[in-house]
Amino acid sequence: MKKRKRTGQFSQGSIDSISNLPEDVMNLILVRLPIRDAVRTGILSKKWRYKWVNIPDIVFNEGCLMKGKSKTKHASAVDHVLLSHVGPICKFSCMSYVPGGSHFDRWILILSKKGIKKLSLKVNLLEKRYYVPSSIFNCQELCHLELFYCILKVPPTFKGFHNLLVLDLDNSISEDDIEYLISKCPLLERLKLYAEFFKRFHIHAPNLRYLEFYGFFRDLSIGSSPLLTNMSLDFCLPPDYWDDYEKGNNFLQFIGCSHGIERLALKGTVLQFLCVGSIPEKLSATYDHLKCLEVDIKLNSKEILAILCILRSAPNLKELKIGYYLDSVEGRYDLFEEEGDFWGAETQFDCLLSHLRTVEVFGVATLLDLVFIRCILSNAPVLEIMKIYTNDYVEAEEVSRILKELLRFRRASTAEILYLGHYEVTSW
Amino acid sequence: MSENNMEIIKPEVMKSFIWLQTSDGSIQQVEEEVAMFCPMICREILQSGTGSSKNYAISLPQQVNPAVLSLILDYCRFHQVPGRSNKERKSFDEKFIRIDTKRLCELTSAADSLQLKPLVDLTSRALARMIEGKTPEEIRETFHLPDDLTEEEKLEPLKNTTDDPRIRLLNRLYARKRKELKEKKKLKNVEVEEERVDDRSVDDLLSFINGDEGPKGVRAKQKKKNRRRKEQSKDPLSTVNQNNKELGSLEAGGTVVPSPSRTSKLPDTSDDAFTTKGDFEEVDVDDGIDPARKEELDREVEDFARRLNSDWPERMHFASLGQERKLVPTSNGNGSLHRYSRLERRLDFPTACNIVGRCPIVTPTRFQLQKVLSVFCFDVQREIIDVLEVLHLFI
Repeated sequence: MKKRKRTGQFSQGSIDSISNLPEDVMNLILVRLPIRDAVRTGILSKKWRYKWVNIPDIVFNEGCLMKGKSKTKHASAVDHVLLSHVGPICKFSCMSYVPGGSHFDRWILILSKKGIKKLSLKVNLLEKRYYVPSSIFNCQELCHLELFYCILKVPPTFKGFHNLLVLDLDNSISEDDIEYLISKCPLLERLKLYAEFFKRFHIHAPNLRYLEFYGFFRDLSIGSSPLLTNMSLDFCLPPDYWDDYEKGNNFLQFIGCSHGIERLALKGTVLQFLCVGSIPEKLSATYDHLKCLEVDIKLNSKEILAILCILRSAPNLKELKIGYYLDSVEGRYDLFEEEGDFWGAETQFDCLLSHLRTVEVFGVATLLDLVFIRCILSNAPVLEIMKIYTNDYVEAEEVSRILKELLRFRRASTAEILYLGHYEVTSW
Repeated sequence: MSENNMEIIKPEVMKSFIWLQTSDGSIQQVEEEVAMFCPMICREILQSGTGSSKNYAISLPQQVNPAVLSLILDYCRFHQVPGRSNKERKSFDEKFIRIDTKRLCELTSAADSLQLKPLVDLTSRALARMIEGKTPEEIRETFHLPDDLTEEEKLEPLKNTTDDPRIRLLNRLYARKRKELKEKKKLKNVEVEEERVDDRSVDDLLSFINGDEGPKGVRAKQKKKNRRRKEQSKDPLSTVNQNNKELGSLEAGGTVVPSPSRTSKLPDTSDDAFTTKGDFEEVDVDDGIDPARKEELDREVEDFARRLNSDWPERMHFASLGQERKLVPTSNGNGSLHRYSRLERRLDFPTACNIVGRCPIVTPTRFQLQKVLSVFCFDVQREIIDVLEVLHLFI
């Protein structure tokens, strides 16, 4: 460490240069402190007494409240901060486990008067869901809203959040309300939704760029969203639960989404669900911008056809991630019969993956899974790296058989194949 | 240089310089691309054309003295080169901010005045790191801050948290309202009883709203009670305080007419408007609202009360105690509560402010405020709390 302190008269001088920094610079400093430290600067000196009250962001995270204090103390700490604060609040986040209900009511009321722009609230899962009060709809400056485990009911008189860009609702809203809400937020760019089940999921968000939806849907339609570049769908409901539902041409209907899409993720049993109808050879349009495709497969049959369909329509694909989705240990082995006949003459892997550079395969469990990999390898001339993870229940013997088989495969490129051991699913 | 005779001149020689003048008057020249990295200098060059010669040097803000300028220019010189990797930049930054706190503060201040945002971010992060996790004494030592707060002042923030009457009041109100909403569904008879209890508070309320508070209020309360009793013989009551103390109407006089169950005691709204206005004038010295406006307010409130009444004729049986029913508004449960609160909103904000503002609530005691608010339904309470907060509590 360079010692520049001894520059003469000011080495140990008692000049206080920090207290006179302009307010916006001071705010930049204080905002980077955990809220507790920021508030404690109030007792440093007379000049510092009210420096913290102008901070634009108030973030109460799990680590920042003192351990061992009761929940009411936490709540009163938040009260103290909110009431002493002066000026507009740009961001408020309370993700720590404060008892919900009345406390949040109060805070939302205060925040609605303070021009809040970014709001994140997480209610304790052990409590009942929190009814978000209507004063939240008065927050006209809101541009980022995140609610976890609440209940948001949109009143019919709601005029809209005209500045809302990011919306993240986890288990917090019903399907009608969400449609209505989105239709009133014309600038919405990012939407993330976790829900149990939506019968119809129609969103009309012209400015939407990013969509992430976790939850079972029967009928999905994304109205014209020309800017949509990133879409991710996920649910884990097994086929037994998809009761009587139209076997229409689901696949086409769904994928007829934005043509500018760059990243598409179909996780869980989504792809399986979409394959219930018939699967075309090729999609009706080419997705020239699709660069990254992430899919989870369960059965090595129809879903492969679906993937092929997408691959044929996405000539510029650079990254491919395949997950062998397993909902049970036995489930995988049961599929042997079905899958065995799949890669027959009818299934031609005939598309050239001319831009594919990276491939990641998660949860390989049987030799059958490798067939698809073999096809990829022989059709990807510029492939750079392929990472393979086996499923964590596969035994060592099977693993070595898989690896031996992998070694045999011809490669159209000089790709590197990395075997990275068992894949551990991180819990969400 | 004519175009024909143009020599091939090496790029380095062609470098142009910008002239900068610092706060102490000294002028120095700096390579153009380095100087242009600062938005403020960039703007000066482009807009006013200064900086091209010694006589027309760009004068920098006064926070920029020569020492700090040289630091800033070092920073600019490094970062304006496009080819550097992120790692390189990061490690340069780390080393760059290892200076004493005084110079770091000066640097922050100067960078801010030159609008050099990346440097401001870097330095403020560094300063934040110096503050984070330290005890106050340590921070004071690091930055040479005087320890000039009294002990009380230091403890003050802690006191506020537990004692803030607004918080306790709000908590109590919400809790109470939730409880009442539950009870309301089950026991309707009991509610009639509750209203009796409420009456006393209504009196308090009336007297309070008529401008008394604190010890004075007690005396005035007595006076009011007597006066109220005299007015019993008047007409049937008008609005409010339904079973669950959920409805209320605000009058011009700022009084709330209590529940129908206490009909014998309760005067009519319209009558009350005039009588209590009288009362009000007696007690309230500083009523800033002129009579014309008062009339208007009276009318508005009556209108409002009428609107309330017209919506819920069916709940009139609750008002039973031998009084006329027609002016009794009710709440039909959640649905109409909702409707109610929307109507309430028609009482526009200035009016509401006026009405509430007539009660000079400087620091209401919890008791008083509770009494006032308990008359109204939950949603209305919230509205009123809004208003109160705007007026007094969130200045």
